[in-house]
Amino acid sequence: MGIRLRSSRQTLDILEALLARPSQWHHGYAISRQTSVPSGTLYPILMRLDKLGWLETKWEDSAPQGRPPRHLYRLTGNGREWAREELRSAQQREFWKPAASQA
Amino acid sequence: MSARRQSMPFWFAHSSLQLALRLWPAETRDWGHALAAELHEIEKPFEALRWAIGGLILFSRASASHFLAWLSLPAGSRLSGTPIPVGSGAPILPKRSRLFTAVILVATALLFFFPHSREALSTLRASWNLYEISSADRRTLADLASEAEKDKDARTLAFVASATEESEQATRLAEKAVALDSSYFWIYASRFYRPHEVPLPAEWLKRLHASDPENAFIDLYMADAIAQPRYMALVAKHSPSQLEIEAVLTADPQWAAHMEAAFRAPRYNSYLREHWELIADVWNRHPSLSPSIIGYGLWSHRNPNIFFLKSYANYQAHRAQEANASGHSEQAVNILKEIDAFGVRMTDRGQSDMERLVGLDVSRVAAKEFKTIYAANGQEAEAQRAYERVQQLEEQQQTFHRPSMAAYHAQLKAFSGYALLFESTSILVLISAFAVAFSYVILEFWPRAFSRRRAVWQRVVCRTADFAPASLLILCAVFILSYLPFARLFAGYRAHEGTNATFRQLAFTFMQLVQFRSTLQFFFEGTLFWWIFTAALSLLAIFVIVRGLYRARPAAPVVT
Repeated sequence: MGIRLRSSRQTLDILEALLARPSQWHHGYAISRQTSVPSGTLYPILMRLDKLGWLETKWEDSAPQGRPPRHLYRLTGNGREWAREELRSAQQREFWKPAASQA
Repeated sequence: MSARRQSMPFWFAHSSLQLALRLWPAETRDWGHALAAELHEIEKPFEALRWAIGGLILFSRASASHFLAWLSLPAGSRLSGTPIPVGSGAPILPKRSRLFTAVILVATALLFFFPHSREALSTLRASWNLYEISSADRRTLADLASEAEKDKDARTLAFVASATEESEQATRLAEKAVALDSSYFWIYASRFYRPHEVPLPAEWLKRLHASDPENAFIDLYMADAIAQPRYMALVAKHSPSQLEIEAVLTADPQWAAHMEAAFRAPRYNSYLREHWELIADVWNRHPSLSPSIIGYGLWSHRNPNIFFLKSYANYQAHRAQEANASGHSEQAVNILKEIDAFGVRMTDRGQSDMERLVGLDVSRVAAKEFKTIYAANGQEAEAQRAYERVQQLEEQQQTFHRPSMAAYHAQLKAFSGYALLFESTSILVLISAFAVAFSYVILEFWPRAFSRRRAVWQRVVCRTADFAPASLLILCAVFILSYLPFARLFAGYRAHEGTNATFRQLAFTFMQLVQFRSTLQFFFEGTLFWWIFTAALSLLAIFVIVRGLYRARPAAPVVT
């Protein structure tokens, strides 16, 4: 059974956040704050991106004492290409606007 | 930081996520840890709470998809386990998925939501219980009674009074029903000698007599109440002859007085019709009532004792004989006319087959004596007429018997087939339900047993897990369908509000349903069954020993 990813507005917002600094690792809470996507929606999208092979993940190497290591995310090369294409297409369809233009 | 952590929302967020992580499906648990780790970065308590709620939503989605994936696999397989290798060492598993079995079992359960299904189960339980009132039936009756007391419903109170085993409760309810509606006075008669040969209170007999003074039935009851203890005392000593019973009973002037009053009374009503109508009406209003309750009411209405009636008729015939011998032929004829008139009343007004047959027999006693007396007096024409009357009565008895017996046999034949199907299917349903439960328990709780060897019993368990659920569904459907003739019969009784014919059908049907259980009981209690059982076990033991010896034999050396 194949995995499908619906390009919803929230997915596109998350892709935009990850593409903003594509080589940098991102935290889940930071993405959520940046996009206003709640955790219950954010993580299923991240999980699907990961299963499709478009997201790289890793655990923090050294966590400060007293708290667990955090999970970090960034788009893979293929993921970036696909994300850019999705954002462009959504913009053309006027389905979605970048955060900068919304502000 | 610590103050923030001690706040209620943060504590709740942290604890709920920790609890969820413990239960999180293994394949996505890392994502749960990832979400929970972010909680430490959140400063605002309500923000933390929102984050945790999102985590709980993620947990429920992960659990649901884990459950669906688990359902799509066959019983005994694990999601997080190693993939199943193909080849001779592959674990043996059922072919059907858990989801398939779950759907079949849900469909089976849905079958039991039809009203007929619940009725079928209740009938089955009652027949296996030999229609004895169970504790559940007692609770149903108590609920009915309390509801009827609240609503001042005399009809239901009268019904519960007639269907209750417990004497004190029945007495209280009967009193209440009659107090609410005096037309239910006859309910006292339904408690006659029930249970355990307890006679009716004298007060009730008085009330019955006062309410229906011209009814022969009340005097017959009163006479029975006197005769019964004497008869039982006689039976306790030895097996008495009809003449002996007659002598003991007629020696009691009180008994003779009640019998005389009964034979002279202008009316005969045993209240059977009223009782059947009451049962049918209440059963119609409460179709879920157990057949044990209905059966208890139907079978418990007691007819007057045939022995005592016959004894009195014979005693009167002897009196007529004596009167005639002493020259009082007119007195003799009057006595016999009285006997015949009572017999005719009982035949015409009796509501059960038994009452009508007894009525014919009483008339026959009178007619035979008429013939003897007229012949002795030289009244040939009258003697001939009396003889013809005897012939006519005997013919009536025969013709009464014949259609009744023919209908009985036809009924028995049809319903014995239905009952056999109904009862045997119920046993097969139990066996297949046990097979489903057994195979699934073995597969789910002992999966290691299926991972290496490929023995015959493993294949049997897997095939059972594959086919037993579908068999259970089919058998349940057959079980419910096989109940339909009974459902129609019961509905017919309720709709007709009880007639002699439907009562007879119902009584035969109840008997047929017990037949299968009695046969099984006879079979399992019989020595033949245990003989076969012992022989089968011995053969199995011999097979195991011979197989063991054969396997232990050393292999012959290979000659090159």
